[in-house]
Amino acid sequence: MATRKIKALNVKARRIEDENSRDVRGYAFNDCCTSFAPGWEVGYNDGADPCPWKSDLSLCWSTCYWMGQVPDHQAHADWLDSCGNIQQDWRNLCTIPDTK
Amino acid sequence: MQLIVDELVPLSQQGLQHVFHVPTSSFYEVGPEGLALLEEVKAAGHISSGQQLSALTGQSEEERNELLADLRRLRLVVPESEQGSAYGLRDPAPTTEGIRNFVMHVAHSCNLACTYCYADHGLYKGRATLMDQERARSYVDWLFDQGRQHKQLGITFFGGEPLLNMPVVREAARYARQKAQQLDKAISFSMTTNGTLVTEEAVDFFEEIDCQVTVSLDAIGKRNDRLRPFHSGKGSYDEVMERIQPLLARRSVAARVTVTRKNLDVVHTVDTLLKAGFTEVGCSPVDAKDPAFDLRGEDYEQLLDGFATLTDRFMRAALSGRLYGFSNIKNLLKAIHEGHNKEYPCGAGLQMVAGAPNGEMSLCHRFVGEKDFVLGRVQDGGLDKAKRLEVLNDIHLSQRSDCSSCWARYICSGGCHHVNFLFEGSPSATYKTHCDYLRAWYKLGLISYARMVSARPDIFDSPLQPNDSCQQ
Repeated sequence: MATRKIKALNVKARRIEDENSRDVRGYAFNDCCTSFAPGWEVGYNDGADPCPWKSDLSLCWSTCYWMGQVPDHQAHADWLDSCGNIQQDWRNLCTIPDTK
Repeated sequence: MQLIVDELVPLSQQGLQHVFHVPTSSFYEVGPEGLALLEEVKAAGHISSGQQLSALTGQSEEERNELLADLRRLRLVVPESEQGSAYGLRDPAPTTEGIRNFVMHVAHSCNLACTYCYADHGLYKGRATLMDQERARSYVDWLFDQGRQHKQLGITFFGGEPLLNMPVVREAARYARQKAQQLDKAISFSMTTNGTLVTEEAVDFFEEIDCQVTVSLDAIGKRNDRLRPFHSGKGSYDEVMERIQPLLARRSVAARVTVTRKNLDVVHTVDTLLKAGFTEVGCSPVDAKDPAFDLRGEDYEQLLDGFATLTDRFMRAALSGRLYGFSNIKNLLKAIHEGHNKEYPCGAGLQMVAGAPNGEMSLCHRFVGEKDFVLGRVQDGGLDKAKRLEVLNDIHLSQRSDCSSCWARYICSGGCHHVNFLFEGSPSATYKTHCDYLRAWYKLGLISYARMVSARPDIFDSPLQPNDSCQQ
């Protein structure tokens, strides 16, 4: 998705723009796996994170190898805001609405 | 989610509305709204992704949110946990396995007595020596043996003055070409010479092996003579210019200008040398550790003024489809275009080492003669892996605490190891006198790049002729 007001000028900028041209994609950093394994509930600094999904998105790639297959929070930066507390709101699957 | 502005260099002078993203070296034109929004978020410290944004004149809330999403997508605003991330876009670490380019010091002797010479007039803290053929062949054997994984290898003939030992240059080139043919590899050659010994026969030879020649010249006429005399004291400029005429007529030749306090008029020098027939001219500040030559504050300003004038000429020429061969800006624009962000400043010890006539192999040609930076001896099988790794670890960007907060750290990567060693005692220290000058120069490069792309968006899409070899 090309940005409307921002021009990517050099090769690196174009690469970043191209990488983000897909709306939804598997969320993986480097060679991080997408398998299910225990440990996902441990948040940053080994504390329990109130929203394990958020933990998957923002933390696991730096603290462990876990990575859930979840929507792209770069193209849809605010999708998480509706599921702030999984304990109270566990039925909300926080999916990105299909706009196509 | 809380978002903050990642490390950026905003450029708003001369009508620009650009930002350079430091961790990835990506470069964007963000427009006035983008700059204003980034400034607003920066001033506030952070922004929440669902936060209501105060409207700028002429912009709806929807447009502002869209702009914020774009800035997020391009990683210019990020969650704190992603701050400073290169997202895997750092230049790949060069291999520590095989050396690709070898600098062969065929002569530790020179017929000039350049007044600022870092190499002790070619002696490199030793006595005058010429490399013998056997040593040259053993270096070639070593290069091909350890560089098995490379398709392309290179040899630079260096000195002292390499043309003082032409028989060994010829033999090394012949032997290397024979090996390349046997092993199905490509071999390239280059040479840095003072030009005083160039003959028609030498030019025939350069043509035969397709050798890229760089001639060291520091100024025009008498000013060059004062810096680059023969041992007798006689100036060398007229003789060199006469000698190299066949070279200029038949080959594409670069000139290298060492800039000291005594030859700061780089515009006149570069312009005159280009008119004389050089394809490219590159300038590099001297590192003599001598106050009579080393640049200081006001000298750097004068040098930058000269570079700005030459850059302007380069831009005008490029926009009308011509090359004005000022190497410094050409190479900088290439680095900006490709978004170089690297953790070593050059290939010294990684892809390139130098070898002396006595068999000692050093981090680069400038470290020849420095015992602490001998990485091995060709007669003992080549590089000492442990020593090489120790030196490479020591000169990695992460070891340079002075650089950690500098926005130019992934372009400069700590600067020339030898300059740092000479002035600060260690290649991993930072010679801060250079830092302001380099940041100003890189900023001039970014501004020039932005202006050129604005005038002709596809100007860098056709390949710029690379000239990456270190000619210091």
